[in-house]
Amino acid sequence: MLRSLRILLVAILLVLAGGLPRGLAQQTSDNLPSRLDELRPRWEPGDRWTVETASRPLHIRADADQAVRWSSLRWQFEIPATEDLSSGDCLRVEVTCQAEGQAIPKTVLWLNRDSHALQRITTGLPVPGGFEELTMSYESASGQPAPILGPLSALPVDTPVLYGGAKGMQTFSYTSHLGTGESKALGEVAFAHQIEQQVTSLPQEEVQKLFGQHFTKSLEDDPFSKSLAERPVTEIRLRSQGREVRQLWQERRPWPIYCDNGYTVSRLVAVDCKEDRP
Amino acid sequence: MRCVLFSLLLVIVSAPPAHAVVEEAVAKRIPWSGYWWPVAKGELLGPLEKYDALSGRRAQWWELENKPPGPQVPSWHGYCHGWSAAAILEREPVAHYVTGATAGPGPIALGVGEQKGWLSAGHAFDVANYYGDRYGDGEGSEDIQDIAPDMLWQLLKTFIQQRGVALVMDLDAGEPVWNYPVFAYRIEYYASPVSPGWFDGSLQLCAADDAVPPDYVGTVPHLQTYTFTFQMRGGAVVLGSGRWTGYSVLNHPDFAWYPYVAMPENPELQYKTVKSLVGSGDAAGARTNVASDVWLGYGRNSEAAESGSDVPLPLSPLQLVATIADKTSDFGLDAHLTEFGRVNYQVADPYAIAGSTEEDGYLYVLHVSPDGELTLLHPAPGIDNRVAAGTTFHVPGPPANHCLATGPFGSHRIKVLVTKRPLMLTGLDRTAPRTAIGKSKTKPGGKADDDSGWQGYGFRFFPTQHKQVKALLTDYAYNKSLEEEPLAQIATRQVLGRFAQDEITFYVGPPE
Repeated sequence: MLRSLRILLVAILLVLAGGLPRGLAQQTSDNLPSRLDELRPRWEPGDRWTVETASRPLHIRADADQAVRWSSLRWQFEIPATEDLSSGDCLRVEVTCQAEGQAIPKTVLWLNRDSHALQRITTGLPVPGGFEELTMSYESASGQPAPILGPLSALPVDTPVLYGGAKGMQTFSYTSHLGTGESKALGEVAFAHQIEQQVTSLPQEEVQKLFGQHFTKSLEDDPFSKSLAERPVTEIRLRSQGREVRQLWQERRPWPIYCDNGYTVSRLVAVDCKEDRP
Repeated sequence: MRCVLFSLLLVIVSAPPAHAVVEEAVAKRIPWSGYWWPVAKGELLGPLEKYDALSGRRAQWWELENKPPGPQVPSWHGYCHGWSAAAILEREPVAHYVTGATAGPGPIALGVGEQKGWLSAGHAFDVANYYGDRYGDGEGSEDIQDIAPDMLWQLLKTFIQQRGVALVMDLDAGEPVWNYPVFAYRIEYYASPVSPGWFDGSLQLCAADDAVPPDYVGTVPHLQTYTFTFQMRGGAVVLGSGRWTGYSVLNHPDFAWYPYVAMPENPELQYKTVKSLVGSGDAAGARTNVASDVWLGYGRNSEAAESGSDVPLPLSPLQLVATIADKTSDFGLDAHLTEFGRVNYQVADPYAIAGSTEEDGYLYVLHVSPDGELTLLHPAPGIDNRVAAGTTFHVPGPPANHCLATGPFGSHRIKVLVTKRPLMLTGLDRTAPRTAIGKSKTKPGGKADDDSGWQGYGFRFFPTQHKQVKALLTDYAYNKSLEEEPLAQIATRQVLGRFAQDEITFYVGPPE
């Protein structure tokens, strides 16, 4: 008992002195990234990145060999401009599917430039002859930024809060309502969400295992994927109403390098961002 | 008179408080009904053969290789998911046509069902946005309460109310997946009299039904009714507080989804080719200009239910069971077996029903077996079932002249109803009448030969619902009181308006 306390004391002193040796840090479950805000992407207009998704067909019969039949698609994320919403200066992120010959709706996200919190999302619902536009707006209950679970599962559009004050397990709340208004219309029913965010570090071997489960190209197969192995990985889990989203983040990456929202698994496959350009 | 007073009392007792808030919406475009193409029967193989003839592909071969029909396939496996997505995303094929091809196989006649079959296969592997966890697949929360009613409400608001589009739901809370395109809903909620901050709610969902023949054109409503409770704070529904109540604890939607990117499962079938081969469809869209009661029935507006409209009123399975269990009448109705005094029958014995009503109305005759199986003896789908006051009716009508007593042994009940509006009974299986025992001759169109016994039409309920309905009707068949059940909260007069009912009981035993 005394020996355990002594080890704990030494560990605390080491953390205060500048951090544990890396190997020890990865093995300690409660060791949190000390500079979480460095994970926050430095988005700029003109930035682009590509995400590959593999979706599990939940609605088909259970005996089908679903593991080899996940539907795979690539999506391009692009920041064409900033936009001023009444809630603040936002980055407009446009998401388009790269599949050819398919009428697939475009999705637009508005993310607060300072906090990176999702403020609004617009997408199209396919209908005969076109799309029906769907818009959801989000408002933090406390005025502080909150993680948001987006309304789509085929696309990884769930956003955590990435700033130094967010660590370990934290609970946030926000309300969502339909339309572009910053707050719900009078008499309209809104929905109040409670959401948990948990931040931990993740060893590289675990990262490789996750990628290998769902994507034929592992971390070693192409130059970009290979580069993902060169930086430490932080795992963020978001939980709300029985749903869990698992994201892996790295510094200087514009989007999670890996995300599993329970229905769709995605990985970052290409980046063309200002901070990464020579 | 006593019955009338009792009925009024029931309405008063079971009506929700006057300050209930009602929210309802119907999608701008109504999805179409279509067949569900069971894999075990291999019924999609025919349409795929024609697809191959026109496209030069081998879609039928792939289907046979990968989904061979036969008894090894669970009976519920089919293409309800492909049909549900197609019914939302595609215009309804409404006409047969003959392809103009002169080369190759020459002109080919294409039925509505074949075009709908291709569309169902063309959407069988759509990438979709999902909401809620599929129960029984070993993944996710595996919480039987999921999808929670508050989360479902948010989806209904988002898709149907705000954007006017339908969304697909697996309506069976258990392991099997029974997809339906849901396009209308009504929520009524009111403050709980006992728990401050809590509210009691009822939900009605209307989907397009798939218990139709492949060539059916139009939308048959599939109505479901649920109850739930939830918390509100500051005018917002507290997500995570919602819980199903009553029968809805075990029988509620499992998960919802909206198709996002069209994808066939069969690699030999190409979505683009299907689109080019299918007729232009119903460009005007389904009937969107009708009142919401056509899809949802009436909520608290019981006066409207008594209107003289001849538009069928949809009835959910639980509402139907509550009506069957209701032993009160608003006007006189007498029904009896034509063999007066006979109460004992053997399997395959013929019987017939006759009766008269004091008021004009629409006649429904339902058979409840001792194990709670439900059959509609009258009317056959599409048959005029109006009855005039004071005249004698006979069931079955021509060309059949009798029904056949069936097993299992025990107490069988016939429920006779006369309603002021025609009804649309959820789940009524319009694909074919039940096969008569020992005599299976039926003519095209579902008419029985005059020398064979009439067996009526069965119901296609998803497993959780089937189990629930069977349990309640078994109690009814054995004359057990259902007043303690949550069923008693369903105000049948609010649902149906005025109606009359009568019952016939007979015993079916083994041959002597």
